[in-house]
Amino acid sequence: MKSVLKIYRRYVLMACLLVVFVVFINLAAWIGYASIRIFGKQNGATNIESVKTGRYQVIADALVWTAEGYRLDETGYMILQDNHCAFALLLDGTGNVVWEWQKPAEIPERFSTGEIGAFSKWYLMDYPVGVWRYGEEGLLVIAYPKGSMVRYNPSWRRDELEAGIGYIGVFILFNMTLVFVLALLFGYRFYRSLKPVGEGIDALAEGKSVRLREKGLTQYLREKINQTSQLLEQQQKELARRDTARTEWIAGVSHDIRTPLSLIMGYADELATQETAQKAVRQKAEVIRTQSLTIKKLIEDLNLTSKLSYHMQPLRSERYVPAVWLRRTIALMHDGRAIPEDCELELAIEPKLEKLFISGDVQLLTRALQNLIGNCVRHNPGGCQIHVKAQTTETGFCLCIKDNGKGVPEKVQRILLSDEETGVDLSKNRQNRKGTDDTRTTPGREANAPNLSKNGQNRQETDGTKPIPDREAHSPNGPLDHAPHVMGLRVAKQIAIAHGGRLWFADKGREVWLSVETLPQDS
Amino acid sequence: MQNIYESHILLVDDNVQLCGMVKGILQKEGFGHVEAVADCSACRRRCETAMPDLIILDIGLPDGDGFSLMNEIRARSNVPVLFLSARDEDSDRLLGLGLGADDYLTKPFLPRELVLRLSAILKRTYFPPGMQKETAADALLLGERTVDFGEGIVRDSAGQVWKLTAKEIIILRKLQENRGRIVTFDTLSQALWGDFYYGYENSLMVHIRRLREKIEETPSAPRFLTTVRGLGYKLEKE
Repeated sequence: MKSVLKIYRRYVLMACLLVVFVVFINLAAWIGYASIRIFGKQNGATNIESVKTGRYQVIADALVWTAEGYRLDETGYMILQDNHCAFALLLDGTGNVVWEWQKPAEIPERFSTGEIGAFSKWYLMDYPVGVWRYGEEGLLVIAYPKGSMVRYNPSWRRDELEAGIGYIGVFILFNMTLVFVLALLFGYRFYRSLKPVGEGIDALAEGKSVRLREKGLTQYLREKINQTSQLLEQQQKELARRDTARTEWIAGVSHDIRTPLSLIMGYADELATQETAQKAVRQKAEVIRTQSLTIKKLIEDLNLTSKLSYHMQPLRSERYVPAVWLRRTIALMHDGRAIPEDCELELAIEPKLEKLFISGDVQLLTRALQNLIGNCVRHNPGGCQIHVKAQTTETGFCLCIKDNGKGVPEKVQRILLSDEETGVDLSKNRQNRKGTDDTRTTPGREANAPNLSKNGQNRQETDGTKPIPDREAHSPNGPLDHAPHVMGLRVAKQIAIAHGGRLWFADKGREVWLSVETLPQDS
Repeated sequence: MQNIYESHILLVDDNVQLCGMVKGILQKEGFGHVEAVADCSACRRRCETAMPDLIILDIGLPDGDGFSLMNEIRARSNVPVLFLSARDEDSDRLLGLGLGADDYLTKPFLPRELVLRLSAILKRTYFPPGMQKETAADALLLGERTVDFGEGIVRDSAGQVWKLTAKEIIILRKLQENRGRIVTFDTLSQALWGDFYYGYENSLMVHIRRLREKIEETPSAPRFLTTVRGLGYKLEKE
């Protein structure tokens, strides 16, 4: 909408500039013309003004009385010819023609005082003429061809003429104001016509549907916007339908797997704990039980990742203290035997974090943390030291899960990295669900995430960390093609993104960083 | 009923194999009266004849859903119900628990988890703490030493007595409730000082140190009250 207003402002401004420009051009042209007129006589310009002011005098001087009568010398004839004069006469004090040059026959030999007065102002038998006083009583008459000139003798009242000069400024100002007002009015009409178009484009950009009335100056544009909106709506519906179908299919499959898996797990557990069974059988049963648990977790992660991807996982925002949540979650993992004996788990919480009280979906965050720690355990079957470090950021906190083992394989990092290259913006997920536009999160996150520079590329170059921007999608082969640890990391990443944060790797995959921001609280 | 193993348990699930497996698991654990039915009508008939002590209920049943059945059961009885379902949506879980179910376990499940949850429900319902002997609840054996919560003292086999402060008793009670599990600083601090416990970590450490001097043979190398670095404390089992 601002852009349409900008167009309107530009339009009015341009109109005003155009007026100023035209006035300037006119003024320049007039000055130019006047200059030519003024300086034209100096280079022999053949106009009546120059004849009147200069040549008449020369002709009069060139016409002299001799014993044979009046005689015009060569210069006089040359001037008359050069100026394309029709004829020339010299009248004495009584109006008789005493000298003539090329006088046509219809021109009388004598003129009355009235005739002299009339042609000196207007025409002599349709010949435009100029007159010049000759001696004490004589009158030199120079005539030009018929129709070659227009004679006009203006006269103004002096006071009106003086006032008129003052009005020129007012006149220009009035005209400029008029043009400005007209530009404003026409511009406003155009603006009003364009405004719905601008609003329509804005709505399209926000993913809303648009129905504009197809009329007026912008009818064609409105038609096109309506068509685009319908097309986008159709595409969105199609996408939503596909997303829902996919999520429901995954949910259905995972639901159907659950009961058979219960049987596998139950009987495997029975066999594994059956003292009468052979040791080898018990061992195999134990493997089945462990792998069944892996499948169970995989199903849960698959379901969750699909829901998070397609915005179908509602966030249950609640207030929590990250430090307390961390201690409780890790303690529960210890108690639940999620951390084997040969793994050491240390937790270091920055003192500042003890006071932090923010909002988030604790259940999902717990899942993310469990996945990340579980990932370290899985990658290091011989045991390892896991170090969980937590520190504050500007609008939340970040976690670093580090182990001294193998770390996250390069391939897995690449898979997660490739996710965001073709992905869907999950940050929209949070906005859609909460109806907020949390744009302030990014600077805080960037500013506070340790070892982070302003863009991922630099970070990768400077310290070998691999940033995971806020995007997510399935890999080309689908999530099931990768091991469960990929799924676990993907879920953790999606949860971080849903919380306005991100997940990234450092130290050749031995460090997994996860940042979390505060969520708007449920109303 | 003398103990939880004498309970009559009714399993409602249309998957015959799963019913057989669950029955086997429970019977192996000592539950002698486990019966399985495959649908809602069979469950209704069974409940009309004699109400079981606990019902394990699936949600997706051939002639109805577990939630409706649960409603019907609740209208007639307060018998404990444990949902055992493949539906893992939060909404299902919340609906089930909201209808008054005592627990909700999703498939696939660990047999041990089912047994523990079921036992806990039965204990809670039929053998609440008040029914147990006072002495057992009020005494805590820590090797050669015994904590007597009633008197607020620790006594060793030689007859030496250490008096416990009110705060030390609270700490010990909390640790006893969660014996064998980690009790975080936060849980202990909250029990001692309420919600606004931030800044009391050092005080907690002092209390723990003094408590160790009373309950441990060698306080510098505690055997029972151990520290879990960065998380909290744990009262080790014997």
